[in-house]
Amino acid sequence: MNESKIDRIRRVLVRTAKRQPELDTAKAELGFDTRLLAAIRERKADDESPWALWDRLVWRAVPVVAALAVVLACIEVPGPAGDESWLSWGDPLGLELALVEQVGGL
Amino acid sequence: MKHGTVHCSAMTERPIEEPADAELIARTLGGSESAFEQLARRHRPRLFQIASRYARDEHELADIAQEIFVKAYFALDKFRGDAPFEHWLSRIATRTCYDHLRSRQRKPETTFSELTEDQNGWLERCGAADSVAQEEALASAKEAKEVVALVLERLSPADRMVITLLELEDKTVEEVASLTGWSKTLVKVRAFRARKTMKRIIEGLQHE
Repeated sequence: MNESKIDRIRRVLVRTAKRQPELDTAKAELGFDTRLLAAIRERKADDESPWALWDRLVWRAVPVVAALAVVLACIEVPGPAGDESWLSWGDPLGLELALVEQVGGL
Repeated sequence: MKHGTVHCSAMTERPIEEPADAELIARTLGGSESAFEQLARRHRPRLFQIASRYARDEHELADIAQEIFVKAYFALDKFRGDAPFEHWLSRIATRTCYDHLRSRQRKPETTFSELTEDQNGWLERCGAADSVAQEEALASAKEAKEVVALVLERLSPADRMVITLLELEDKTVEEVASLTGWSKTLVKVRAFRARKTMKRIIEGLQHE
């Protein structure tokens, strides 16, 4: 199929689409006002509920908490000097040795 | 007749008993639901017209229209009045329709079926048409509407949006940019890509 045929089909399709939509807007508009006002009242009530307030606060806190987590992760917390107990979590090798000592009774 | 806009020129054309958009907006912001109801009723035909380009049936159309008005209601305090209210509302409508297309893409309900014999025949006849009259007749055929629906459903939300606004509603690049919030360059790039994609889809239909 050559290019001009596709162009022709496209042109006809655009012409068809221009004539649309053929949706029955009268059917869609039936009782629209009532449903619209009900939806607005419902959303208003949702927005004013304590849960919505809590939800908003939590979402607002997300970036702050995330930033704090990043900052804390970047800061290297040095463990107490000379501490080789299994609580010295900053040193994986030390932790491993401590665990071996505990389990194997070395 | 032009309905009440914020601008004075439109005010002179409106019957005295019909309040201007600005007045209805002020009353809505003051807590009057009936004022918003009146405002919605005034602009409903245009918004239904916009939304019907993207809805597949009347239920979806009503849902999109409702979402547009709900968004408008809660953003009403941001309307500055430096452009007609209808333009502001059209922008909300366009962006809501775009969001709707995107959410529909995330959870598609339709599965792409093969073309029927009639649709294939229509494509063949359309490709061979050699006069405007023939094209006109083909554009009115039942199969044309079915193929259009197939093609539009296969376009991405951005492609469909730009084709609809530029080619079906004959908007200018500037108008599309204003309605969608995209830059003029982006509109041009998307239009170029969308036309190319549309051609590829039509070509693909031929081989199904």
